Amino acid sequence: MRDVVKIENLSYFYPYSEVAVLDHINLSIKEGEIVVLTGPTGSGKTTLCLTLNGVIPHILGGKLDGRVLVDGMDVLEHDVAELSTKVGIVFQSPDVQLFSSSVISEIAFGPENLAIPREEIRERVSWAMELTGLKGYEERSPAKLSDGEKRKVAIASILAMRPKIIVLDEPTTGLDSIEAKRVISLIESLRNKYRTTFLIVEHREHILRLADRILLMVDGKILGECKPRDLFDDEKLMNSAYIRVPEVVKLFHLLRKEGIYRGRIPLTVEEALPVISRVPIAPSTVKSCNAPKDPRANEELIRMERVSCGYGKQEVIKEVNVKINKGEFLALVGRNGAGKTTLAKCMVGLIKPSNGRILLQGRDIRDMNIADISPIISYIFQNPERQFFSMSVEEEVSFGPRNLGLSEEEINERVEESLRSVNLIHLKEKHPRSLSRGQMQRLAIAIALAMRPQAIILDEPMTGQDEASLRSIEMILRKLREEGKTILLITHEMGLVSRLADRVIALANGRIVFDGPTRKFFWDERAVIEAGIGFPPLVQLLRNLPDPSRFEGIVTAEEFIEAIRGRGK
Amino acid sequence: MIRYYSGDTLIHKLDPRVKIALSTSLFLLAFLTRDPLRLSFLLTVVLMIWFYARIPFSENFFLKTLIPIALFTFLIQLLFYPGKVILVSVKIPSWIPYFGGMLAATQEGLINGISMVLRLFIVIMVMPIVTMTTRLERLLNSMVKLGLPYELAFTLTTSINLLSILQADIEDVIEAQKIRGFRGFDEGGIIKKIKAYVPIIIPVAMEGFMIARQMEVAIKSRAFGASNRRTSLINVKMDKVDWIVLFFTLTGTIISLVFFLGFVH
Repeated sequence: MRDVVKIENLSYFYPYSEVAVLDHINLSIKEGEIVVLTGPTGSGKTTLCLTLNGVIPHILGGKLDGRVLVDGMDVLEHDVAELSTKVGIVFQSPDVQLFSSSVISEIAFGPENLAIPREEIRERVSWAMELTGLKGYEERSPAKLSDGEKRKVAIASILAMRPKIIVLDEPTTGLDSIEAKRVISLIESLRNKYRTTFLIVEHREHILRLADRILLMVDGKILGECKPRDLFDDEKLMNSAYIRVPEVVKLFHLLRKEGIYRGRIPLTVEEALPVISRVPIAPSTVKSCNAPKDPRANEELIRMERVSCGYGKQEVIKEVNVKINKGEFLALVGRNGAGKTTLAKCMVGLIKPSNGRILLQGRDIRDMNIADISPIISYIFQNPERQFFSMSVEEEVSFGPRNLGLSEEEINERVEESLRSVNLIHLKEKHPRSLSRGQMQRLAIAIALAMRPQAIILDEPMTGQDEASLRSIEMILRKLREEGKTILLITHEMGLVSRLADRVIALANGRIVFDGPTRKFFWDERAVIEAGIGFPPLVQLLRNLPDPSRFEGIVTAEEFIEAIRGRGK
Repeated sequence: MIRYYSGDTLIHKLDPRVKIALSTSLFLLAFLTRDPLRLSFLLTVVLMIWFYARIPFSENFFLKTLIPIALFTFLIQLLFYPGKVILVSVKIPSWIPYFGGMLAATQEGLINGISMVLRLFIVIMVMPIVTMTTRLERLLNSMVKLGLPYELAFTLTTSINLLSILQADIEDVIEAQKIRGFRGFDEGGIIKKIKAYVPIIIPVAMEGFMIARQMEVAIKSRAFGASNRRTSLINVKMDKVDWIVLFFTLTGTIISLVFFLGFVH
């Protein structure tokens, strides 16, 4: 097979910069290959992708040494428009690549520029919409779609250009598990049917698994490559490549350490099933690990009674009843567009309920200003980086306490304390928007903490974070949990939910379909299906074993090991 | 006042060029006469189109922006228009600068004030007849057909898009400040409120610059400017209905012109 991408000794410097973002890179990709590029944020993965269609250096400038050949064309000798028929890039943020007022004209934009006959454009557009499951969206405005839908439009708009190579920059970020699965099967079918070549930047396991090769990139260098199977077989390698160990994989590594299992590590539930059934587990003596943390003193903090709310005439939340006690750690889950953010915004007064009432510590929030609510509940927006407005980290954190009318001394104390607890004190002079994504999320948490609220709502804090930041954010959350803070976590990361949350509220189409202990949720078939989040792989595995009820309540690999250790006790 | 609202009326379906002709005629006619009666007639036509096409009436805009401006315009005209027939007059002590002497509302001032207000409403309400009933792509396509270079037309429409992104950004920052206990947007006088917006502008402008840059990359990555010929999926065409409406627009305009310019009384 021939190489469709050939990179020789590529180095690159951004304008006015002495630091090599790409440092002597050599890489060949064969036609029809799926190559996944992984590594920590800032290692140059996106930069490398941008050299493939000539955006670097033609648009972004800078100094490029070495050679990039795409389907035999030297990138330096052809402009971006010419290269766009060879390489299509789907960028990380869907918003910046959607600029048309309807889905159909968004998808047609590329082929139109290529002066393709109108009839063929029509065919291509409907083909791309068919593949991405966008039929029926023709006249919708891309700006008003959900994140998942936007991502599909972005992919379709690239497909319609029929490029040989498709570059996807974190294609499943922010997608719920069903949307993510759709993207994955789309990639597979394009490769199988059309021999499309893929270069994908990603660190999550469901994409890594697809790869023919995984490349690890750190500090502008490709440190090495491996097959997914070898990566997941080697715990040390996963750790040094900043890759989260999938729960099923972790289970088998633990079983290996226990000396119960000796074979290869299975990657999927399907592979794991025949293997795990050979592992000796005494059927009747599994120790129950259902020990929910009891909420402190049952002191009520938030109560929502038959609350409906939405935007304009459109009702997003329908007749919701929720009671949250002090000290609870709750996860709010559900598919993209289920109404999670709307519900959270309703709690902090940003959206007024059209019906029902909300009580905060017994007070109706209709009688309160948003400013009165702010010292009780802090809400951390999704993508908080878009909402920083101060010139320094310190100033950004002090904004809230200053509005509370505290003394200068107290303000300084709070700023210091909250920055320390998220480990950002050393960056307090920096400009907030110059921080890395992970640091920005931590800053957002510090901002919330500085209000010393009773409760904190975090809206998808893990979106777009690399593994190192994920770990540090999880640690902060764990600490807050131990300190007894009331926390409402909105997330798609079910692993995180199973490790941290005591209670789950699942939303579907604006209604609550489950409200109860986390362990019960993941084992409640009806609830999991209605919420549309998909079973966590480990639960899916255990549910398929004979007599699954003996494992009920187990949601992490550690718990499973715990349980089978309890053998004979 | 520029956002598209979907609809299914004749106005929505018209070729954008006919709509442009229609609203341009109304616009020009409004400047060719000062007669309140004729202006009222034009405004009635505009209102009828609004009503027929169900163009959403933004109460906020009309009550908070347009009506105060109209009132102000009216007062200025009423009091300062040099007229002869005095309706009411007030004597103002001569030591007050600018206003000293006699302040009088004249009949001419009254008529002129009414005309100016009518004209203001026509001018403001004529553009949405095109922009709020036409999809951006169709508008773009017809502007290109009218001879505007594609690059320029595209830049224009994309800027409108970018503006709406920035507006969303501003709203986000305002929300972020509110939930951190800031009361400046809801309380205090107008000066205090304006002051509250000032610190938001710099970060949002920076963000806008970054988004624009990323958008440029995305747009060029989709072969923008690849060839001089460019196909357009959307192709606005003049239908029978379009020709009929255009005919009525032109004859109506000519007849009005004859009346307005005073050839017939």
